[in-house]
Amino acid sequence: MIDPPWWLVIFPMAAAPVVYFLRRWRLSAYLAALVSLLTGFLAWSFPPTNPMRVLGRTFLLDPLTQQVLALLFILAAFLFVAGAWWRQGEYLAPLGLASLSLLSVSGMSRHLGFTALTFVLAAIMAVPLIQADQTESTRGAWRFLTLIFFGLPFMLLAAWRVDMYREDPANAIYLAEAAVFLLVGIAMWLAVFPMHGWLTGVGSYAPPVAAVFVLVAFPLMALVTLLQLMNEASWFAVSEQAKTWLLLGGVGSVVVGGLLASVQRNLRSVFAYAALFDLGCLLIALAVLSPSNGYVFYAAFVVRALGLALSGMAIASIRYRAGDDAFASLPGRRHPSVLVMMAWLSGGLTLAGMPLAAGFSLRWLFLGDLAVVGREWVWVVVLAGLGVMIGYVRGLYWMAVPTQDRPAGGITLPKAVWAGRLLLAAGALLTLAIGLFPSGLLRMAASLSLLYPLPK
Amino acid sequence: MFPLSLHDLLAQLQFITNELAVLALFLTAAAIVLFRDWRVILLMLLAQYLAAGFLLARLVSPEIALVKVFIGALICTMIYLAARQAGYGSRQTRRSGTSLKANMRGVYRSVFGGSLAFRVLSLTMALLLAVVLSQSYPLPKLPTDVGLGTYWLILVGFFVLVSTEQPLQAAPGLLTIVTGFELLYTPLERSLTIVWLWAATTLLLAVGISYLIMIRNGGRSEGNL
Repeated sequence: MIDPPWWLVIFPMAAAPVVYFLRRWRLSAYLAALVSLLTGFLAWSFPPTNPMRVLGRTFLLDPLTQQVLALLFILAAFLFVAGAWWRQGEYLAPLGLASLSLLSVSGMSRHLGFTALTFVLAAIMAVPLIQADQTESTRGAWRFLTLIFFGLPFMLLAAWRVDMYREDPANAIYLAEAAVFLLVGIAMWLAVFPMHGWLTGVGSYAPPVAAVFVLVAFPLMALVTLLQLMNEASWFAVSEQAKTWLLLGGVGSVVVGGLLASVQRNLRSVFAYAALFDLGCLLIALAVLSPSNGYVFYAAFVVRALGLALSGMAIASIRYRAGDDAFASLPGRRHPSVLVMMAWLSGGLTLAGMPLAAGFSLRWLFLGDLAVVGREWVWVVVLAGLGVMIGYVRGLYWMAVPTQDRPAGGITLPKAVWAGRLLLAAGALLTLAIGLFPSGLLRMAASLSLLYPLPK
Repeated sequence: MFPLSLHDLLAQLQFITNELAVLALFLTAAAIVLFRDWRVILLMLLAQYLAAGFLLARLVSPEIALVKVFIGALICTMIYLAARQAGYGSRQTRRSGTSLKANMRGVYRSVFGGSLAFRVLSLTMALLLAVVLSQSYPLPKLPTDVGLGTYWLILVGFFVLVSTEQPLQAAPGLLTIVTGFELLYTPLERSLTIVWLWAATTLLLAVGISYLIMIRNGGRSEGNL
């Protein structure tokens, strides 16, 4: 009999070929969304499961992996539909499903080598959906492919060192070496090193909805791997250096993301650097949050998904109508609708952690713990957040600049565009609702934090 | 008469020493940096897989080494087909009426490209670094010469990779790094599951690269690189 958690792998992988063959019809995206939504709810509702043995390896669906996979599958369902509405490439739905299936294996695996290999397989699957048959540049997809792949040797070497230690526990030096390999590998997966290459590359060059999928799914699963290691591999958690490196990596990402978001000249680049800023905040939170405030970190996963999804879908909507998202080209085109502008702004407010948006209360709570480490760090994060906000406000300004030669009369928009706008409005309202009443989200995150506390 | 088994074949190839195979790694990787014609580069990559296969056959089971060589050949074929499909090398123009000197210059450029001196200098630095690293940080479970070859492949591959973001030109660099890592990692890993999964990952990586090569040139045929 198949253990229930394997259905998270089997369902999407089985549906992927069907969706692929139907990819020229919008129906395929709806089918993919349905499968993804059902798998997400399945992941959400699983009772605690026992470890499983397959191919001589141990697999376990722990509460953290379970909830993160549920979040990713549910988010992907909306993205698949939005991708079909705004024509984000034929591969988003089929390869997105295949990628999620492999990420599920990666999240459940308890052997570092197996985790790493399946993570990279999922990343390779995501390459065509990043490129989406665009012929102008392969930079985003190429950087993603190479830099995620480069993390793999380090993870495999770490796995080898851990195995060596299991055979010869007297040699503790193996663990120190494993920790170094792990940090380098994870840093590459989280785009902290080198130079934040793949994250900003994907954000700037991929179709925006596909970029949301990649920018949410891969960093979150990399963080899940890191947390599993910190929680379950005591040798890694006790390493004080690990937290110091996390803090430094996070601050680096926050500074680069905040500064560069403020000076970009197109919407996708602002979005990319905002994603980097938010990821930096997550890393800092992991480094400084006390276990009693672990729920803040988990709630931030949802907020990140929401903020990036809103921004990405707003850009997709603008590109669908205007064909471009460079600031300079926006005034010559039709104005985006107010709903699109609202979604763009609320996505930005959420990622920057500004008042009224979903990210505010979480950012406030995490800054409290950061202040214990050093008050100056708090100012760095706040200023970088302002940088992100400047980037978003500049984008909004260029969207609202009066059009010189606006075509006379109204145009008839496809029904899908109206549906997309409604989705954006719903997302913006949800952000506002979480911003004003965060207790519901925090309560859910707190229950996860009880089941899977942050490492001390 | 054909040898009966893989072990017989290896016995007949005893004259290819480790040193000779490492020398082949040096030459093929250097050629990948020096040459600009993608067909020559792919041929060198194939030769590199063969040389690495010989070395691996002596470090791990010959069957695993054979699979690695087979996958390497498959990767080269895949990239070759992708490049042909994308139209690379399909517009070779013959300039009739030009002087022999001009023709020779054209051939030189298409084979070696520009900035040859820079690439030679980079190779020299990579060689020095590989020697220093292999002496200062010898790799575990590898003979000294194989360790040197491993460092060389990784360094040269890295140089190719950072020098361009064009998939067809950068891919041999990435794959050279992968070969270097395989020389290091395969003798260390005892789990067959991981070895096979790694092989599948490498093959899928080549599929991803081939897709990007086809796309990159899909919009505008650039002809011979």
